Amino acid sequence: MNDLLLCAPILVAAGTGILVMALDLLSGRDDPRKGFLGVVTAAGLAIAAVLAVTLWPGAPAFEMSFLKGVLIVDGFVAFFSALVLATGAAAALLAVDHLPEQGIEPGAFQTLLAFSATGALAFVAAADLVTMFLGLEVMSLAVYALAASKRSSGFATEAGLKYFVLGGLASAFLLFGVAFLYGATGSLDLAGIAAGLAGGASSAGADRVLPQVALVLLLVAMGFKVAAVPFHFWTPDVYEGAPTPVTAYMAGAVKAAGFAVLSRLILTVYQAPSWGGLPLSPADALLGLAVLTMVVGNVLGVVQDDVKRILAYSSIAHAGYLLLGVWATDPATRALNDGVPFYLLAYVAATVGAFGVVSLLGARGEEDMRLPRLAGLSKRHPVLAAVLLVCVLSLAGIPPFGGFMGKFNLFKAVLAADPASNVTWVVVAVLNSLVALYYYLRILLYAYFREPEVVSGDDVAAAGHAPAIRSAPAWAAIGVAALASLYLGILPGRMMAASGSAASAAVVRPDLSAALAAPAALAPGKSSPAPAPASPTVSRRAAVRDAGRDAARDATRNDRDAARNDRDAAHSRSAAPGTRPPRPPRPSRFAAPPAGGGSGR
Amino acid sequence: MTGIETYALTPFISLTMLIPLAGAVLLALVPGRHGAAHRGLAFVVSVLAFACSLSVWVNFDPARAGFQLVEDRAWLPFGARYTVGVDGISLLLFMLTTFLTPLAILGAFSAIRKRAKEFYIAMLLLEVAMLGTLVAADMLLFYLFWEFMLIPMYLIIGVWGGERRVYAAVKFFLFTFLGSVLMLVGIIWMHLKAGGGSFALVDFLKLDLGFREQAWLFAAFGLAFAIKVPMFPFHTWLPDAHVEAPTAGSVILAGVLLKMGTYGFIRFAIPLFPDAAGAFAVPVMVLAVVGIVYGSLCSFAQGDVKKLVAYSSVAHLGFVMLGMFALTQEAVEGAILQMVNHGISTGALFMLVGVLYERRHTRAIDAYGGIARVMKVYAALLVIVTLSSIGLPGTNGFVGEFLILAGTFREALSGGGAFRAIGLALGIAAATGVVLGAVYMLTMVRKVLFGPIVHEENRALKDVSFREFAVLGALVVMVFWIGVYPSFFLSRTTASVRATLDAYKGRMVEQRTALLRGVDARAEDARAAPSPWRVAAQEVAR
Repeated sequence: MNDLLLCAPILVAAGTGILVMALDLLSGRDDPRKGFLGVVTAAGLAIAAVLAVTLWPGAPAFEMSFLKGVLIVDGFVAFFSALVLATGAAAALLAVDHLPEQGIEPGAFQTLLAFSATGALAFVAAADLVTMFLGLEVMSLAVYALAASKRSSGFATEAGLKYFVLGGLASAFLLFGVAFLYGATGSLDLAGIAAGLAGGASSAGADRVLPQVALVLLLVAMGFKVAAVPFHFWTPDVYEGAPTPVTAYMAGAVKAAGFAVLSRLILTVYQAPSWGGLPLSPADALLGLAVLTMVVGNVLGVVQDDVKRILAYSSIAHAGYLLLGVWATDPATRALNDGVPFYLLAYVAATVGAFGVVSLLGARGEEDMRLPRLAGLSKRHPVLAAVLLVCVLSLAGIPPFGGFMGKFNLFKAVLAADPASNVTWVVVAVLNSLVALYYYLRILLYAYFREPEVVSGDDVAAAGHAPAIRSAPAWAAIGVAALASLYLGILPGRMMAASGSAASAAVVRPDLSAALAAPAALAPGKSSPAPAPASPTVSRRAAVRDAGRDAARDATRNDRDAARNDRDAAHSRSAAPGTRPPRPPRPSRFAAPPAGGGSGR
Repeated sequence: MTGIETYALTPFISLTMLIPLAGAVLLALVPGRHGAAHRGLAFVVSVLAFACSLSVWVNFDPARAGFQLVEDRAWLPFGARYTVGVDGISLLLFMLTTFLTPLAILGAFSAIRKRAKEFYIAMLLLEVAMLGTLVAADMLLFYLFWEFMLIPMYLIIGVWGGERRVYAAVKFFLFTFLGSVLMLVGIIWMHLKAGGGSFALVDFLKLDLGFREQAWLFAAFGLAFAIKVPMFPFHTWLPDAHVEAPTAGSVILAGVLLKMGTYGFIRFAIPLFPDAAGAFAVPVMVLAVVGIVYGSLCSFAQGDVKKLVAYSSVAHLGFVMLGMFALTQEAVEGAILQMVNHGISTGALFMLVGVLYERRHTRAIDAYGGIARVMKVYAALLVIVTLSSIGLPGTNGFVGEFLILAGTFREALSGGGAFRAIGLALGIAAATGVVLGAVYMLTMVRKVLFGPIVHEENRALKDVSFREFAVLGALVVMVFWIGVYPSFFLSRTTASVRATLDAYKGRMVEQRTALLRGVDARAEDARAAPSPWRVAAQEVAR
C-alpha cells in the first residue's frame, strides 16, 4: 500500500494518458469540443505534480522488493518531477486551441504528452541505469511523434525525423555507456556503480579505461538531451519545426529532466569533486561543454531572424549556464550546486511563457515566426506583449524577474564553490549574458517599437496581422508563467529553499555518511603530500577528496555486494532527515586565516 | 558613512515608493480609451508621491551622518534584506526625483498622444526604480532597482522617441547593462567575502580588502557608474539616448538617471574601496576635466538644440566627478548640490526645447531666430535657465560650480609635490570649461531668441501655455532658491559628507600620493641633474 502511494504521481500521470485516450475514443471523431482533452491532461498532470511534491520529499523507502533499486524518490526527484509535470500541463493547455488551428488531432497529441511526462518521471526517478534508459525512451519516443504531429507541414515532419534519428543515436550512446559502466563495476544501480568506481579508482591502469569511455558516452547522450554544444545541431531546426506547444515542452520539461539525470549521474557515479581520478576528468569535460555551449549558443542566437530559433539558441545558451552550475560542485557538501534547480525553475517558467505567446500567434496554420511578424504586437495585443516582455527579460536575466534571481543565485553558488579560480568563468558567463541581451532585445524591439508593414489582401496574415488565437486555457498558462517569473524575481525565498533542499539530495551515495562521519580520515594526507598551510583552499579540497576516497575504498573492501543493502540504508536515511548526517555549515572560503587569504586574490 | 542611525516609525520612504507603484497598477486597470483620465491620474499620483517625500525631508535630522528613517525587513533566505534609508548624500537626490517626476509628467500632457496609458505606467515605474536605487542600503536591493530602471527607460526611448529611437534604445540598454553585470560579480564577491550571510552596505563597509582586490572591484563598480554618469570615454550612448527620447524621458534621463552614476561613486565606490579610489583619483579627475572641455567643445559644434544640451550634460557631470574626487568638504558638498542643480537646469532646458519642438517639430537651431519677439515669456524663461546652466551668481549653477572649483584649488594647494601641479592645472582647465559653457549656451540663446525673424512660420508661434509655464515656473523658483539660499539644502548634506571624508579621505590621499611618488621622484631627479639643454647650450657656447 505504501508503495502504491509512493508511485501515485507516476500512476496518475500514466492514468491521465489512458483516460485521455479513452475519452478521445468515446467522444465523436469530429467533435469540436475536443479541447477538453487538453484540460483533462493538464489537470491530471497538475494533480500528479502536487502529489509528487507532497509525497516524495522525505519519503520512506519502497517496501516491495521489485521496486527497490529501481526507483528512488526524494526531494531531488520531487522537485524535478513537479517541474516536468507542470511544464507538461502548461504545454497541454497551450495546445488546446493551438491544435485545431494547425489541423492536429488532439486526442493522440494529448495522450502522447501525458505518456511522455510519465516517461520523464521514470527517467528522473530511476535508481538504476536500465530504468533510466526505459524512462528516457518512453519520454523521447512520445516527443518524436509529437514533434512530427503536424502532418501537413514539411517542417514538422523534418523536425520529427531529425529529432528521431539524432535522438536514437543519443539513446544508443547512453546504452553503450551503460554497458561500459556495467562492465567496469558489475552493477547497474547508481550507488553500486559509484562504490565500484570508487574502488577502481585506487587501482591504476586498465580499470580506468572503461569508466572513462563510459563518461564520454554518457556525456554525449545527455549533452544531446539538454542541447549542449556540440550536440545541439538538432535544436534550432526541431524547435522551429515542431508545433510550438511541443517546443515549449521540449525546451522546458525535456531539458529539466535531462539536467536532473545528468547531475545525478555525474555527481553520483563520478563523485564530485574527486571525480574518480580519471585522466579526462568529468570536471574538465563539463567546464569545456559549459563554456562552449554558452558562447556558441549566444553568438549564434544573435544572427537569427526567427523568434523560435532565437529562443532555441537561448535555450542552448541557458544549458551552458546550467552546465557551469553542475560543474561547480560544492566541495564541502559534495552535493549539487544549489543554484541549479532554482535556475531551471526560473528558466522553465520564462521559456514556457515565451513559447506560449509564440504559440498563440500561430493562428490559421501559420507557424512562420520571423521577427517582423511580431511587429506591432504591443498595439494589437498589449497583454500578450507584456507577457512576452516579462518572459524575455526574465530569460535575459534582468531584475525584477525570476531569470535574474536564477542567474544571481547560480553565479553566487559557482563563486562560493571556489572564489579565486571560478571568478573567471563567472565573468565569462555574465559577459555572455550581455551578448544574449542583444537578441532578447531584438524580440522586444519588434514587439514594442516596430509598426507592422502595411500590406494588402492575402498577405495580411503573413505580415503579422493575423489575430492571436483566443484561448482561455492558453492565456491561463502564459499568465501563470509570467506571474511565476515575477514572483520568482521578487520573493524567491521559498523556491530557493526548495531548490537548496533538492540540490542537497541530488547525490545517491551510500558512503557519504561514512566519509563525513569519519573525520579521522582527514588527519593524515595519504595519497597526496600534505599541502602547504599557505593554501587552505587546496588542502581542504584534497582532504575532502581523500576522505571520500578512503571511505569508499573501505566500503568496497568490506563487501562489494553489500552495496545493495547500503543503498537501502541510504533510502531510509533520506527518508528521515533526522538520521542524515547534518549538512555541515558551508565554510566560507574567505574565512580562511589571513595568511592563506593571499591565495584567494 | 557610519551605519544606521534611526529607524522609521512610519515607513515614509516605502510609502513614497509604494504610491507610484500602486498608481501604475491602477493605471493598468483603467481602460485604454480614457486618455485624459490616464494623464490626470498619473499626475495626481506623482504629486502625492512628492507630498509623501516631503515628510521624509521634514523628518530628516541634518545633524546625523548615517542612514535615517531606516526600514529593515527580511527578504531573501541568504541574507539579502529589504533595507532602505536616506542620508545626507541621497536625500537631495531623493527629493529631486519626486520633484521632477510630476513636472515631467505634466510637461508630457500634450506631447504624448499615442499609447498614453503605457507611457504613464512606464514613468511611474521608472520613478519607483529611481527612488529604490537611491534609498537601498542593501547591495542586492540596490542592484535590483538599478537594473530595473533600464526597462521603463528602454521602453520610453524606444516607443515614444524620435526617428532613431530603436537604435538609441538598444544602445542605451546594452551600454548600461555591460557596466552593471560586472558590478553584480563584484557584489557577489564581497558577499562571499563577508561570510556569505549579508548584503548590507554597512557589513560590506567593514570588509578588509587588499589593494589588488579593491582595484578589481573598483574597476567593476567604476565601469558601471562611469557608463551611467557618463564619463568621457563611455559617453557615446548619451547623445543618442537624450536626443531620441521624448521630452519627459530626456528630463528624467538627464535629471535623475545620470546622477545614479555619480551617486554610485560617492555612495559605494569610494567608501567600499577607498584605497583603490585614492589610487584612481587622479586619472578620474583627469577624465572628468577632459569630459568638461570635450563636452563643451562638442556642444559648441552642434546645430541641434537637444544635442547641444545633451553634450552640455557631459560637461556638467564632469564638474560633479571632479568635485567628488577633490575630497574636500566644500567640493563634495558642491558636487552633490551640482547634481541637483544639473537636474533642475538641464531638466528645464529639455522642457524648453520640448516646447519649441512641439510647435515647430524641428530642433535645428537654424530653424529659429528672433523668436523672443513672439514668445516673450518663453524667452525670459530660456534666458534665466541658460544663465543658471552657465553658473551666473544668484542662480543655482554658480553655487555648485564655485564650491567645486574652490574645493579643488584648496585640495591642490594643500597637497604636496606633483598633485599640487596637477590639481592646479585641472582646476584651471575646469574653470576654462565654465567659460566655454557660457560661450556655447549664449551663442545658442542668441541664435534662437534674438536677431531678425528669418522664417515666416516663426511669427505665428504661440507663447508658453499656462501648463508649460507652471512646469517651468516651478523649476525657475528652484533655480533662484538654491542660488540665493543654498545653505538650506547644503546643510542637509554636511554631516554625511564630513563623516565620509573623515573615514576615507586619509586612506585615499595616501594612495594618491603613493601613485604620484614616481612622478615626484622623477621631478626630483630632473632638478638634481643638470638639464641636458643647459649642458648642450654650454657645449655650444664653448
